[in-house]
Amino acid sequence: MEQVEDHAIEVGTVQDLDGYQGALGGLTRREFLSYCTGVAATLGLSSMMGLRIAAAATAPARPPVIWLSAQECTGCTESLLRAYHPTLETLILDMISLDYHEALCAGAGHQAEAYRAQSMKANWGKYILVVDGSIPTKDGGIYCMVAGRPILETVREAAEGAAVIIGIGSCASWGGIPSSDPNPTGAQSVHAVLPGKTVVNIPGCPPNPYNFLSTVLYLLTFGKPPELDSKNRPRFAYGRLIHENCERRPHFDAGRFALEFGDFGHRQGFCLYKIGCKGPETYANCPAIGFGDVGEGNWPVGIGHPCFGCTEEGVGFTKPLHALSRVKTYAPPTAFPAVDATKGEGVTPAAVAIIAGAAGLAVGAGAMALRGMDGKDESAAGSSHDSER
Amino acid sequence: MTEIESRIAELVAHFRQIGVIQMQDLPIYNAGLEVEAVGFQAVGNRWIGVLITPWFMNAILLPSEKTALDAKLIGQKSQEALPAATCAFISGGDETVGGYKSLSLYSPMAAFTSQDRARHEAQARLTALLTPPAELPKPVAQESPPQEPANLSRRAFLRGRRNA
Repeated sequence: MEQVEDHAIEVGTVQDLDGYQGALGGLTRREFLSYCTGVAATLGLSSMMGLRIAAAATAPARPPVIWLSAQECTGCTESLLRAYHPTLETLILDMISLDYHEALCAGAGHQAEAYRAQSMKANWGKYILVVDGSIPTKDGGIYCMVAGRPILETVREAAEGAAVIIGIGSCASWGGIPSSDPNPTGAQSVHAVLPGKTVVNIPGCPPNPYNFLSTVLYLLTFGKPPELDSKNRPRFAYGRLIHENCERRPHFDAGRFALEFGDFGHRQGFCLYKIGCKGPETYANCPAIGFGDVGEGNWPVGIGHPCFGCTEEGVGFTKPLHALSRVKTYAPPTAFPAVDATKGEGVTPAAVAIIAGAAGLAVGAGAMALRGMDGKDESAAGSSHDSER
Repeated sequence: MTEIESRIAELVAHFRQIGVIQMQDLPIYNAGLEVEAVGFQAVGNRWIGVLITPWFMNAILLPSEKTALDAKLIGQKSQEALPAATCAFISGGDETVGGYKSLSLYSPMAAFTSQDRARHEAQARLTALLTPPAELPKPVAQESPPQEPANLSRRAFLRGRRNA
């Protein structure tokens, strides 16, 4: 098997290992392949996939991604690792080049940091910067140090060369748990520490992986972020209240409520509003696409717990779980995307949500560079998609 | 009063009662509104209209025969073909008024400052649901996803190197 793999490497696609070696801090070819199979193992893939990583890692056209972790719990990454459309490995092998991610990269210490610096330098102005976790700003940002530097500095430096910045999770989007009162570290959102920059926010604790993946696929396909709302959240995912798509909504309409956990109403699956559900003030598509790829109904309200508003600033981690949801006021009808949009026959809402977000995935699969994002024409990418510009 | 009129009257009366008993003390209740059925009309063998209450505005699909409420169906989503589009309705209902399907248009209702505005919006949304799309370009047959390259060698296929 070893020989077959070696042969595949010789004649196959991994031809520019020498060029890649330097980037890996002087790894030999053998070490590089070990590194790739290590990455594969980290992702739970076979060693054969390690070779695909090697091949993919040297393919020229994929946009590099730098993923920085600040005050976070790795829940966003955990959530992402449990996505299947596409799987994370498809994403990082075929579509992007995940150049740096503290939890997922096989390298460590100086090697990993050197590679991050190298990748940022080589791809200045072109890479996607993803940040999870909030940024502590108190006392010069010393409460989150990575590689001996405050993450605040690293994020600001990396943002300068980023084509697009994504804040994944509630912490990065609006501060999340670390910013809750009394906020001892002065935690702020990514957007707050990058004045003047556009940060695409994917809030949630954890965020639904498909909202992130769909956004990334959209970026790869069209070279620009999807339509965003006033808080820079993609509208396809955060355009409607939880309450509006909730499967328990008929019970709300008819005034049937659970009054305490385990009572008759709770066992009957009645509306959870009176035990603190924040669905009426929380924007997210959880009821439509669920979590964990096991079909509809697998989300907090679906399994009997009130929504606690994890995506929503001022609700999640701020209001007591039992507190009645406040009612938001906004001006209809122009502010709303349609909840009654056309849906394909026989297609599950989850599929629709995913397709809506990742529209054109198949179309764009051949053109993976972020065309036009940095204002430069990347003619290497497929030219058949000019109409998208 | 025809049968359908009496059933819609029953619907309105029952939701008024729900409002008094269950909803009026909640912050989600807009006391400036009242329960009203707007524009119920026959579509095929069902009735469709919009129900305004102080806590929601839904399009309601009412079966022409009153059907007993099946608790197992509550919350099930189904695709219903309307003149304008195919929409995802949620099954719901009540023991008094029987089963129906609903499509959430608004909830909470805090944004509506008067019954007139709510009625106007209800009528507009209902009309939108019942108006066939005008002269949309015929849907172009979806391009099939890129096929496997015909020259994929057996060896490459067995190695799973489709993208090589």
